[in-house]
Amino acid sequence: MKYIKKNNNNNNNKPKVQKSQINIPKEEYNQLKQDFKGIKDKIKAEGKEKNEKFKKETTKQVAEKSAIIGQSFGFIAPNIRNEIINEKIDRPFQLISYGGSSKEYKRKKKEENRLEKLKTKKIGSKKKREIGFYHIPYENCIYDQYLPLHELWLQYIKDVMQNQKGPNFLAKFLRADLHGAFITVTKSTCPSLIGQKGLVIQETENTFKIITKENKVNIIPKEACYFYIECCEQSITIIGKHFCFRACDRSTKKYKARKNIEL
Amino acid sequence: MEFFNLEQPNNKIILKKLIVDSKNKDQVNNFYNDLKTHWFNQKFEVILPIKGTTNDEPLEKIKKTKGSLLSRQSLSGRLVVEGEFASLFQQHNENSLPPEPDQYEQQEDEEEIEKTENILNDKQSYYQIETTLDLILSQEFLNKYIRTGGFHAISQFSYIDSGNVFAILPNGQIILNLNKETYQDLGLVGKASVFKNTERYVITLDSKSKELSPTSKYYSRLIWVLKDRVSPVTLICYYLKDYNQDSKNSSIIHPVQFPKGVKVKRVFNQAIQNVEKYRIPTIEIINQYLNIPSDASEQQQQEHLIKNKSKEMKLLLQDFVNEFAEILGLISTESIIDTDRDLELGNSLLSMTPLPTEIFSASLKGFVSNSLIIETIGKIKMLIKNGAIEYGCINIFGFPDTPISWGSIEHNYLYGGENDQCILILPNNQILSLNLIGTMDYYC
Repeated sequence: MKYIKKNNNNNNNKPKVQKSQINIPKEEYNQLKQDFKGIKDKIKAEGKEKNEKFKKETTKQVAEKSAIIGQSFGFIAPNIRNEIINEKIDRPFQLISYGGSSKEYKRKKKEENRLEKLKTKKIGSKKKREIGFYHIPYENCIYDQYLPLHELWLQYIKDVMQNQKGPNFLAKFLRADLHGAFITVTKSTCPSLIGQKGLVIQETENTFKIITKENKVNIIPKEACYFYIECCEQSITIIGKHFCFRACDRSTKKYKARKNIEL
Repeated sequence: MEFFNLEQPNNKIILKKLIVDSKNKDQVNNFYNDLKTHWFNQKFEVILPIKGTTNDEPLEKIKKTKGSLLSRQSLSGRLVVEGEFASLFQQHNENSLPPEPDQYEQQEDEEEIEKTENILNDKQSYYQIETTLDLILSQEFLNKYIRTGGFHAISQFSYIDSGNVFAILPNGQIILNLNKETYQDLGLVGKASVFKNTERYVITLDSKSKELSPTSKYYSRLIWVLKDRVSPVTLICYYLKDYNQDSKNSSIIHPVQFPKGVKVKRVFNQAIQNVEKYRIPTIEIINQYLNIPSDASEQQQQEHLIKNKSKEMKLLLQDFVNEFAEILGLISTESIIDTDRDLELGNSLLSMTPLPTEIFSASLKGFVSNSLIIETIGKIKMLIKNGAIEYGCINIFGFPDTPISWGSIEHNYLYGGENDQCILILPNNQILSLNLIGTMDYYC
């Protein structure tokens, strides 16, 4: 056995104990062996008795139940019958309702669903804005908190793209999710927006919400800007004017080539 | 002061009638301010008809024998005029160029530089440089040259209707007249231009304001914008040290130490001077048109000018101005017209003067300073008093691709970007000034 000194400061000099140091004489050792054998035999005997009792009880129950079932389903083969008994004997007996396919039953269910919908109160988009459902509180506007989201996005975009290039790459990229991407504004009609860069936190139909390295949340309109993104060792510029859709709508959208790029 | 506007399809002609007394300070300041605020001059021309030379005789060439020449009145007047202006309009050889600007940095004493500079005629030279705007707007250069005033600069080889123009006014203002696409890429806030609303934008920076102080946020953004994203620009520039002071040396151009990484070349203005015989109206004919009795005293003449404001007077003046400008144009293009061809032109002023007079005409081409023009006006007034000449004319041509023509008025180019000025200096402190302006410009 190895003994490693972890700390030199520990001065508790405990006596080292080794297996070889325990010396028992041979006569005592033989006696102990015999005693252990006796104990083992006792335990085995007790276990056998318990098992036999359990088997007898179970067989009695099975026999009673099988007698009942055998009267009703006499035509089932004995092998299959045992399987059924083992699987399904403990379940309660159920009746299948006859009204499952009838029109009245469907009407009833529709009304029940309707009433349930009326009872449960969902929040509308107007109320969500009033409450501040999409509002990011001031305490959570910290750039370092969103860095793991950026790493997740990098993994996600690698899985989606799979080393594609050219027009296939763009067609896939336009349908991908952009939450967590690092974006810079290169061109816009409003000159104070130029040079803004940060991580995308939210995407709506007409805006991006961006968090900058100075822990500021800025809202940038899509229509007036060009965006620049680097990922998968490729650089992309998105023309925001042709990109004004919701993130969920973009996944099924077909894009057309356009001649006019002017802002 | 009176204004007369003549609108023509592609440009406007504006006539101004002034009386400038040397004793009345307000009149003098108003007149010189109008001249000074025409920031950038491309060409400068002087036309001086010499007194007592309206003859049919051929032009006499000056010989180097003194005694016979000084006896005649005509030649003496010509000698006086040439003596005044010969040094200004002297052509320079390339051998006389000063040492290259790399050697300036090695010389530590500034006095030595000034001594070497003053030997040459410094009123005619300017710099041609190639830089990025980042270096010119560095804090050291701003403090040394631009904020003190007197640094003129304008971009070369860039057109105002289809490109980006950069200029520094001697006020201390910096102006960028930008294309739409570059404005959207650059990232500095400006105003839409007056003439082309959505296609061009104007950015004005004031170097004396708090925005351009070294600690401000705006200045750091300005340097970030201009540092690696803008291509280098070719500028022509010069620096007047005593710009705000009215001293004699105000028109001398001082050397400039540019920051490192700037390509510098020194260029001289092209100078031409000439004496030849042309047909030009004498002062008696001009007085007839201006409706002034020739026998009246000075005070009566001035009162007469102010009183006459009738419609007939205006129409007469319009005709006079058009015809006179035509004659000046003929002289500056060196075209001599015989009396047989008067009917073709239909110019009444020319037909009234069959005899030619000797005219001293000279011009500077390149990048001319305003203070030099003001100096020459003073000299012409002196010559009129002495009796060497009857009256004098000055033509000033501006750059067609300037972002600003007069004062703080925006300038642009449609069919032509004229912003020219013609000044007629008459005796008795009378001055007629005539401005020729393109459609995309104002003057007030």
